[in-house]
Amino acid sequence: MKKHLIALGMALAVSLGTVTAEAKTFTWASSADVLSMDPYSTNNSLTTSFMANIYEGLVRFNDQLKVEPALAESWATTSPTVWRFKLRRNVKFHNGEAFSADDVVFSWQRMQTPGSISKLDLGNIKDVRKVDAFTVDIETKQVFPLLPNNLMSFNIMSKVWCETNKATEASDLQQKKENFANRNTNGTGPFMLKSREVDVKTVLVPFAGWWDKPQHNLTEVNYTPIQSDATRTASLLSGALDATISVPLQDVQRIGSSGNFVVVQGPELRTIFFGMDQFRNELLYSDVKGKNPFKDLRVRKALYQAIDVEAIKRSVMRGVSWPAGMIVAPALNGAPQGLNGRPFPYDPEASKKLLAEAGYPNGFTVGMQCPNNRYVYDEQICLAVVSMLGRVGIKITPQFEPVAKWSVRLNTQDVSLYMIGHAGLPMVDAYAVLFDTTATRSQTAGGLNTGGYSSPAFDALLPKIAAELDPDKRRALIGEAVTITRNDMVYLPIHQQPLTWAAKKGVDLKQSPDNQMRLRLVTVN
Amino acid sequence: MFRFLSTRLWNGALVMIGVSFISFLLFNYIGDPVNNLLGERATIEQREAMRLALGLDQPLVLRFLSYLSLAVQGEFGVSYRNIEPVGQILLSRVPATLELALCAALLALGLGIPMGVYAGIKRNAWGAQLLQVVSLVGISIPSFLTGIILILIFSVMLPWLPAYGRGEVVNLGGWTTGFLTVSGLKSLVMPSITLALFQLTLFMRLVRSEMLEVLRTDYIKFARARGIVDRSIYFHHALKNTLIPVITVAGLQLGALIAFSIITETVFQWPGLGLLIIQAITFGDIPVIAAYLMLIALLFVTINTVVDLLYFWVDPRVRIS
Repeated sequence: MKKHLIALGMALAVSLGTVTAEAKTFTWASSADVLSMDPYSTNNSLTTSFMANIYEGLVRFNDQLKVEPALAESWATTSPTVWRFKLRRNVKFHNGEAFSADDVVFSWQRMQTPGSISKLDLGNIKDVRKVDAFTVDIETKQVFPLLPNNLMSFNIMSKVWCETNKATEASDLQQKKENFANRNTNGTGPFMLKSREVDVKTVLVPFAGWWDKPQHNLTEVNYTPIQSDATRTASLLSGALDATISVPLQDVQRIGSSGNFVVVQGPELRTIFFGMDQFRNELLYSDVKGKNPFKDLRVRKALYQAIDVEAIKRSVMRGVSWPAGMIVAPALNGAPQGLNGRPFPYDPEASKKLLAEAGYPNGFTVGMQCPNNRYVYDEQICLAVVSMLGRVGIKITPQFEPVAKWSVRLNTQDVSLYMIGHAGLPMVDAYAVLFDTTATRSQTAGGLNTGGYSSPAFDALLPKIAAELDPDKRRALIGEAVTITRNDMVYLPIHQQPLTWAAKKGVDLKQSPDNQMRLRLVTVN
Repeated sequence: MFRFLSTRLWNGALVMIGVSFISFLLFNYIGDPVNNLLGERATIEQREAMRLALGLDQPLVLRFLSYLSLAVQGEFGVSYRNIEPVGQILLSRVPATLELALCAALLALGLGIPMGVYAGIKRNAWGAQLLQVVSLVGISIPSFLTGIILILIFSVMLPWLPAYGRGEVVNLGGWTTGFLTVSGLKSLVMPSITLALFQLTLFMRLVRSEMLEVLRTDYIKFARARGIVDRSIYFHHALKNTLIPVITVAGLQLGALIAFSIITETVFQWPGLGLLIIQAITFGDIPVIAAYLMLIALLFVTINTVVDLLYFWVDPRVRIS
């Protein structure tokens, strides 16, 4: 009881403190709106990152992307596949209800309902069981050391609140009416939803009863989507916004030079690379008939050596990109740092020689599939690569398309030479990149392995990586897998693209490479 | 009159069905909503399950028929993007677009017609010449450029007007209006000008050339010979006879203001139908796009019917034949 009183006192002190302090409203914008307030209804990355300010999981990331306790105070494995989580006491939901193990179990059940999409990220979890009011066991399908990282996708909702408001199932496209949780929230997180106008404005206020000590000093947060790049930048410059994320690179100079704003840039976890059709016997969109040049390692190496990633950095990316030698970003958990150097230099002469050896002394023609609204300067990078490959005799017919069309190509493998990227989210781990892009494509694996590369040696490593508990051994295994992708030139890595945020002077955004705005760390002076 | 109306309604219904079918055909080309729903990381199995759940695996004709049968009951499905009923989303966006279109139309007609009359009467005055030049500029600058230039001048350089959004709106029984607050009115200025500029110059040029035409006709000469004052000749006899094409064009253009305010709404992040549709297209939000296209078709059919009725009123010849 005494403990409760202290907690209450502290909560009061905190809330009084914020009331007496100067009002710090923080208005920020990005290019699209949060899709839904229901944390299970989507795995759209902007939405998940926004909702992490309202709902919390058992664990959370700090700004260095290290796992730290949130609604669970500690955890340990009781058997290789069973993890026991001790829950934090004295946690309150925004409506004042107390948090307990029942909410965790309920949330897991809600996660399994038909409309839930975030369950796709939690496929390794078999069951969540209550042990007592503040202890839960989570059982995984196989040994799964990454469970804490995985739990980032598992936000906890209130059982009583969902039952009272008939929202015990996740928002579902099949249901004809709107789910209560699609527009209303009741989390345990540092911020509460005050109002929401879809596609216009979403307002949050700090939750005075939050269990953790706030590091932010905000009294109100306005989020507003502004789709047009030029308008978003102009709104920042006009003083209407305190910060924007997804700043177009061409505006960086202008924003930075005005003196009243700061641009924050860093490498995103996302690595951009080119893939090649390596499974068809005859390449699509090409003048080579009856065979597929990309099946020949010498041709893939010729492409690799014909692409000057430093020139792309210099002339396309305006100096802000991090040239890559592997498809996993070095900042990802488990990434083999030593393998990010480029194994072969840029050398058009060597490239021409390799092409001649492979039987294409005059090069060949091939189509290139490239999105034009997905990655930073995607279209310009592709154009640069087109001209670089042209110099060694490979004539490219580029096909630029918006994401909605380009992704259809990826899904149906309607590609020959294509651009793609992967950030290792939401677990912030190298394994997901390898599993999605390089595992042999099947119904349940290699969803992004559009080029159809297949290596039994590589596939054999994946379950070992997934089950390895020791971080050093795991890193070594991942290193082996990455080495295979490097030796086989499965992909042509380009770079990690920049994250570009901008803010008024005096606003500290605590940017982290997963592109999430963690409002609990933001301060405004 | 009754026969006229019933033919019109029948034609309208045919147009609606045609539009909805064509829009359905288009869905094969706008991309795959499943990818946007599940993200790129989803496996083939997960994508197929979702496609099955949404009925996207059905043949197009079957999907069209089931859509049509639900649509006539007023059931347009749920948006893939916002997981809200489509009808509710569209209704919530209508006020923003209609208020913007109304302001733009008032601006375009209220300024365009008098300017056109002036340019027609005093065709050689330097003011009229100037208007001709200015109108050429207005017709040739694309509206996103107008919008961006306005934002640069009136938001960034001079902090007078907001660069995005509707400002504060007041909710009057489900209709959100920006007319009742200062920030709402300020927000309307730049989008209205951007949207109206093309229409304004169009009306000006149209009225001017019609005036020139009419002023050459015999009955104007006779009117002058009878000694009727200029004012009466210009505004009573001449202007009224220029109005048939102006009404036709105004009707179509009003529809266009509502339907194609996409660019203006995108530049100013104006939360109306245009912004909604561009987002829906990017996302592959088929239920929203389908309902939007039906709504726009309905709008054009209605406007054209009203325009035809106006002919009765303005032009006696239509009544006689």
